[in-house]
Amino acid sequence: VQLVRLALKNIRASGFRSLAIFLAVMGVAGFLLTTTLIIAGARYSLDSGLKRLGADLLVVPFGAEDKIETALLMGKPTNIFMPRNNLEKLVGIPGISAVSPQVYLASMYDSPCCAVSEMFIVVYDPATDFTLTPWLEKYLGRGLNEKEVIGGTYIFVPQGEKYIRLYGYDTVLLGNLEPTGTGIDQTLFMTLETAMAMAASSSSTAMERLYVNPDRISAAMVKIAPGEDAHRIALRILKEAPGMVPIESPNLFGAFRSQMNGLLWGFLAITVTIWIIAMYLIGIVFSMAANERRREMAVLRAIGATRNFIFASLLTEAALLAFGGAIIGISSAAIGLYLFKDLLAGSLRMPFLFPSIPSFLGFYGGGVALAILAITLSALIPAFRISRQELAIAMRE
Amino acid sequence: VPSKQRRGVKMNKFLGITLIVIALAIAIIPAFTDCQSQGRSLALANGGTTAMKCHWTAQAEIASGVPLLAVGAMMVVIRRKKALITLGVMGSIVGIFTILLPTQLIGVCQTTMLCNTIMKPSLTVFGSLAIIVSLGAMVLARKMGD
Repeated sequence: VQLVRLALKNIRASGFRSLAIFLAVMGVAGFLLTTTLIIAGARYSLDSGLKRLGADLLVVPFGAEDKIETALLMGKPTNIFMPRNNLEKLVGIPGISAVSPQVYLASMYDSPCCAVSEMFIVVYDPATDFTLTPWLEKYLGRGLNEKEVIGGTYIFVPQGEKYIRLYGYDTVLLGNLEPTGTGIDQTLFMTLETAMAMAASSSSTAMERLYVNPDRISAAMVKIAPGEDAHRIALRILKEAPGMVPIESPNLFGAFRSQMNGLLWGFLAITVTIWIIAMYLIGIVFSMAANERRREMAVLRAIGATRNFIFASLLTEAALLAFGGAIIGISSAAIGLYLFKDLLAGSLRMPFLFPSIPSFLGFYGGGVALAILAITLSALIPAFRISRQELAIAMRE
Repeated sequence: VPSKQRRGVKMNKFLGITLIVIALAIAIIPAFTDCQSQGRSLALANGGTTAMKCHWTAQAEIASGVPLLAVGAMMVVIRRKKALITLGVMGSIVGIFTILLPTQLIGVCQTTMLCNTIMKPSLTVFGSLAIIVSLGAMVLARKMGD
């Protein structure tokens, strides 16, 4: 307690120096947390998207790999299809336990039932589906009937309405999926039955007619039998099912992941450089301060303070400044990032989901601990030197 | 004590100027970040157009910014303890309403629109700063002599 009180008095006595160190720690710690949270948020978003997708392999028409990935990641429609009977070829491949088609039907722009400007409509087959059905069974206790739809987190029923009107056809929104930060959030899922009814209705109820060809699909979701190797099955699909390309689930959004990794290493290099420079400069500031305070420390020694007490008081001073700076810097960075997350995700063109509370607390604690460690290390040599100085020489100066 | 008093008055002047800057930001930023400023409006069934709700939030924020500006200006010139405490309370209340207007009372538009990505978070930040500065002024005023 005495040590902390002395350190606090020293901090208050040298206001400008303390403020400079405090601001440096605040800036660097805030920058570190911001970069870490951006990367972690993008990863968390991708992982949530993949979990929601729930398939081991995604089989897409040859040449449409990037487009399908963009469709899922950003909710953009594709107009590349493959014949529905391709599913039969996949079912025949040993090691595959389930295959279900999905049709990326259309995009609605500035729809009143979607919180973002583009809404993506996906058709799934309830008879074979294994991705949405478990969620529906868990939350609704049944599958979707005709006219019923399920939406991503951005889909809602317009205020004052009972239905979501699509192509002049009224649909009932039964629920919303958890947020993923990917295109799934702006996606509306419906059965083929509903899509066909909507297409039939559109000829008389919509300004633009909707065409649904039940013999065409956009992608096939594939589930691998337990114990089978996904990579081996993917190779088998490539060999035995021409015209189709399998994308292994962990490799999905591969281009985006590699871009993100590049960003991660770039950010990491910048952060490490800034930390080293900050540590070096703070070390110099402490050395200068230590030189200035030689007599002060000598007086402390003369009135009975031990060398270890002086050493510890200087380190406590550094640790307190680091702690305060890191808390303020990291908290401001986290609040700023949370408030401006939509702007950030939009301008960086990447999916972003604020990390879960436990992982955020982990980053927060890690950032504060790193700041304290780094700044205490910077002050270590000056503190050691000043605590080991000869009393008589210091007093004479 | 007189030096403490002088320091308190000086600090309150600084906080008053800070409140004036915050008030200007609260009144001006929404005017350039609402959907109307981006040329967006709601189409009506009769073919006409009307402003989106973020525009009304932006208008209401002027009514929030101007009183805060007055609070800041008064904080710069007034030296009486009780008056400074009252100004601090008023500043905090205006700060709370600055946050409530885009988040609860009127609201803003869709997720990707500028009013949601810039206007709402900026008003939340400036509203919070107004509250912190006003509370700071109150604490300082309480420490001052009459």
